[in-house]
Amino acid sequence: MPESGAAAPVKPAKRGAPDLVGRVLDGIDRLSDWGAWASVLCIFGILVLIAGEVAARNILNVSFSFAWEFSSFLMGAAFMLGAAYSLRSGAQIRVMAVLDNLPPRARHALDLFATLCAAIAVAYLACALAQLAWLSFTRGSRSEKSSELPLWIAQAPLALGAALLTLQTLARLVRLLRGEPGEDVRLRVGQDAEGAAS
Amino acid sequence: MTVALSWLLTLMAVTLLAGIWIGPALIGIGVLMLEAFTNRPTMRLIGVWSYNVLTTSEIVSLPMFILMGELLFRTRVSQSLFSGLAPWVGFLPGRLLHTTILGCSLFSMISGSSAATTQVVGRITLTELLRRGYDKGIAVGSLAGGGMLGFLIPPSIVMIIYAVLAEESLLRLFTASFLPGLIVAGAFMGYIAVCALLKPEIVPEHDRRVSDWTRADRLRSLKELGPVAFLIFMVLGTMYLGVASPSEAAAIGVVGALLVAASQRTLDWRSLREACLGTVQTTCMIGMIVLGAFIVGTVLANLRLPQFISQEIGAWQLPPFLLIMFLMLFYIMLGTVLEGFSMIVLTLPIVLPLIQAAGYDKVWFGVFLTLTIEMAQVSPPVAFNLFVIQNLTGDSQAYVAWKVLPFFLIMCGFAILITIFPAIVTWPADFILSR
Repeated sequence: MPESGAAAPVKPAKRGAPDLVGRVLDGIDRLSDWGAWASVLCIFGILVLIAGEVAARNILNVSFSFAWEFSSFLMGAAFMLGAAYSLRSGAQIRVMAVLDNLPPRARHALDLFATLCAAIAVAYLACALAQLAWLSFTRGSRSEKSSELPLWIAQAPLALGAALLTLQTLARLVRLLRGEPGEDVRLRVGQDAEGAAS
Repeated sequence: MTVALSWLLTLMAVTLLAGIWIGPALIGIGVLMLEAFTNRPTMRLIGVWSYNVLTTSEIVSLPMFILMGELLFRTRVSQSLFSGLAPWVGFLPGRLLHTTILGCSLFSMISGSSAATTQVVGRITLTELLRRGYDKGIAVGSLAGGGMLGFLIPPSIVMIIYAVLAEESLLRLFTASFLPGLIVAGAFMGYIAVCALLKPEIVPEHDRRVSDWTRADRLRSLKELGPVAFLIFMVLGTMYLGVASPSEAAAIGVVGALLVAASQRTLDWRSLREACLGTVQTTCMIGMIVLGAFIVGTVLANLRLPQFISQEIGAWQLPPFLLIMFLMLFYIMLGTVLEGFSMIVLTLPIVLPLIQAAGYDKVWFGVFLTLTIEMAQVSPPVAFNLFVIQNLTGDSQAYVAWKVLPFFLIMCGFAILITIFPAIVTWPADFILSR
């Protein structure tokens, strides 16, 4: 959407043979891509579950009580698993008003500061979600709804996604320190992307 | 309590201005406030709350509507809207200019997004209008104005987010916003007609006489509108026939969009891939800010800050009308620098209790808030609908913003109207849903 980092000056990443750090950064990008596709799978999973439930209920007169429950689990997973990718593509919203009006050095410093703060916040979120999943696992908590699915199965993907997001935020910090652009604007493909690019 | 409130506002201002992403910033603020002002187990609570909000069932419709928009963006719906509507507006003063407003209204009944509406309708309609020699200013203005209907006419992503954060029924919100959407669309068309009567030159010479479309033209146009009607039925029809809940209707809509795309053979692997990744980008962006807003909102509720605020405001003895007008000004100002979603999530935890204390209905405020967010979408410098149009025509933002001003003012006027007569919003919902 609008104030994404996509407005930042773009310098297509040019790398001959990437050094070790560069390879690690590329690896994090690949993980983020996988996260995005996992998120797509979850979204299509929801689609199949809900459309199936509506069809079954109206045509066959059977209701799958688990459809809604599972689709909300998938929803949570979809939200977090794609978060790293959306940060990398510059889709996450931030206010650029101050950043855009600073001289380059100050802008760089503030961008570093913002990225560091964001990294701390999402790292905390990752810990919180990991702790939640771990507690559900050790206590054997199960869903209170019909499926009685062990809750850690639904919670672990959220923790994983948040961990990926933390990695990607840290990667952004390293990229800024190396003087590379923070976002990969080539990834912006949504219908909203055209607006953001202006 | 005042200490907590000033901390909250300071932290929000600092993190926003520093350019920290809104989602992570709100999560961080929630954590800090929880640590500083309560002695409850912060990490446990953050984990539980995050999991709870991200797996709320209302929110499931969000990615569905986004995916639907992404798919439709890649079909021929854009073209159909123009050629299907053109034969029907030939008798109205302003002629084809009405295709922007009508197209936006129709597409709004399928799509939940304002920018998507502007984009899909604008792509063909604006080009056609300019090619035929219609006045550019009013064409651009009416498209930006019509785009504002995107969030107002259901389904609406803004309403979904509001429903989750305010714990209000999505079906009630959708039902309540229908009539306001139609009234605003009517007012926009009325404005265009008046302009055309006062300044005939905005319509090109060859379109000025009442055009005589033949019955064959109209039949053909109905065929063009077929996919649109089908999609509206898939989304709204199933919802109101009781076949599907609002959240389920979104999934049915995606199936419909896939069918339309398949029948038009417009979807190849490449565009499907782009639609998927675009969906993930937007979904995860909204997911992050909703998560952050929910955490801050819950922390504030734990600190009993909402009660505190409503008591304080109550003590001022402000007439509710003035309070709402004050809020509207506040949102318009905020809307110049923030875009819609951030505006809701940043303000709702504080504003909602205040509104309820003033005696306004939550559904009413949902519609009011949507109106203010639509205004934010066209108020520069951060104005998403304007970005979309700038990309279509290559004009400066100031130009587009200036041309949309009349429509913006109509929207303001309507917001004032529903403040004076809240029944415009609440009555249809009560009437339709009570049966």
